[in-house]
Amino acid sequence: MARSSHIDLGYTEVRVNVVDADVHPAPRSFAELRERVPEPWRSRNWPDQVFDAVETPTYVAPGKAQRRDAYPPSGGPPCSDPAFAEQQLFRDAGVDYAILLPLTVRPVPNPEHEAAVCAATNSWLADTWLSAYNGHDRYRGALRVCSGEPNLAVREIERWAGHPHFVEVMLVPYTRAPFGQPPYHPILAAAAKNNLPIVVHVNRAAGMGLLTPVGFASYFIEHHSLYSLLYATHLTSLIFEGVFEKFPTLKVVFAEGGFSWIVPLLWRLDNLWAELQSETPLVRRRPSEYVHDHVRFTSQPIEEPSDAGRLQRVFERADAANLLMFSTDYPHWDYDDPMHVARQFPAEMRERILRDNARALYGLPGTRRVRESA
Amino acid sequence: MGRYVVGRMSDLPPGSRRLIQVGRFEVGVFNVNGKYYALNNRCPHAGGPLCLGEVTGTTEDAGAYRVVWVRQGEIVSCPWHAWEFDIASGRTITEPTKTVRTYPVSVEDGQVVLETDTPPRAGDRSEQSRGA
Repeated sequence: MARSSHIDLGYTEVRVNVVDADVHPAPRSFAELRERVPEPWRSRNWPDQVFDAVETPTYVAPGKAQRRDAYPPSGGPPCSDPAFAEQQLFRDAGVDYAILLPLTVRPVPNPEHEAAVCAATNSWLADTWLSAYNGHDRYRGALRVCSGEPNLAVREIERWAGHPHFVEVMLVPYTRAPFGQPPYHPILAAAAKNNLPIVVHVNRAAGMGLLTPVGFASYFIEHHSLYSLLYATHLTSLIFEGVFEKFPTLKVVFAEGGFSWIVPLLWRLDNLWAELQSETPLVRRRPSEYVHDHVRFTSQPIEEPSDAGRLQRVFERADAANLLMFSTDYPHWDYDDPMHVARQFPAEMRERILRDNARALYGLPGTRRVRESA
Repeated sequence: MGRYVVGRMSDLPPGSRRLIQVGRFEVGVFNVNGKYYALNNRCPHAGGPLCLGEVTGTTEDAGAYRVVWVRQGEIVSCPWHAWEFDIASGRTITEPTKTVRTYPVSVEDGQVVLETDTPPRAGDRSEQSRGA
């Protein structure tokens, strides 16, 4: 037997520098997901491709939403091969921890159908990226649940409560009512009870859900720009329905919908609250205070005004030091690279955005173990 | 002054590209309709691998909701954020204008030759294109 060329020197602890709050893993093939889908949905007639099904024809993103250089050389969709993902995310981008939000499930009209594919997605993620691929313990995951049928969502949350690697519950924002309203409260309660933040993340589906405040947009570019309005609607509802009074431990993350828009919105909400709070007396505190204590935002896609100083001033005004968490959105077409983006954050808040805010929210350590070998 | 033999003309037919290492950086050499061009493989927007992007065309507005497809094969779209660059000039076709460094490419005795101002280092060699 040949002598090993590596001598195991044991472990060392390295400092965590970058937590990536928004990464999208995919199954290698649809079969990997389908085998976990409960009946009758497993046997019904499905589209059998993950990625063509993922891209809705209503609004089409460039490159089917994928980074063209993120396809694994061994085949499969982007972020389906753990070795290649580690190379691009950990080695090339310098990410220490990644929060995984699988976008395999498009909202569909039938909530039982959607809940079944959510359950399959959660089982798949738990079996693969959160365990078999997670020897280094650097991945955490978001639970997929169907918000259209809150009882099913609560059941799915309870099923996974206590799992060491699921750290939040994802809700897709294309709903028939904003999240602050009472039908959603059982979901919010279950999340809060199990110390799981809610993460709101877009996931396009054809149909009514894609409405803007004034109907349907013509172009993907419009639709993409308007994620912020969608999130603003949900945030305003969460605040004025008194959700943060009813569920004082609840945290909510708004992912991939921008950040700077909260500045004028919160000025407006704080003003209106001072004038009209008797309409919603449960809301005892200023809206911006609830946001400070309960709400976080991910940074990608970063706004890029031509004058970088403007962004820094906005970040100061927006309290990015407390509210913002860095994300790449790997492997998507509008990926933010940590090197390029970090220098746009004001220097005194850079580490909080790149690491500390996500560490605090998700309970991640400040160092991680690395095996040393010679 | 560095001269790199990228390959034979027959190795680089119209529509193809090849990436080669030049010192510390990479250069993508493209054949667009029979002419050769070279671009630095680092997008001026956010540092992405520009030369791995799709070689494509673009659109022109032809009146209300009428859009025509033009310049097929003349544009490379960066795989990060989809910025569109005219391969021949290295300039974006949209505002704000960004440019990527271009390099002269000539053909000598059936070989495609890239010129840079970095002399070759030991170990530099022409690499098979990735992503073409």
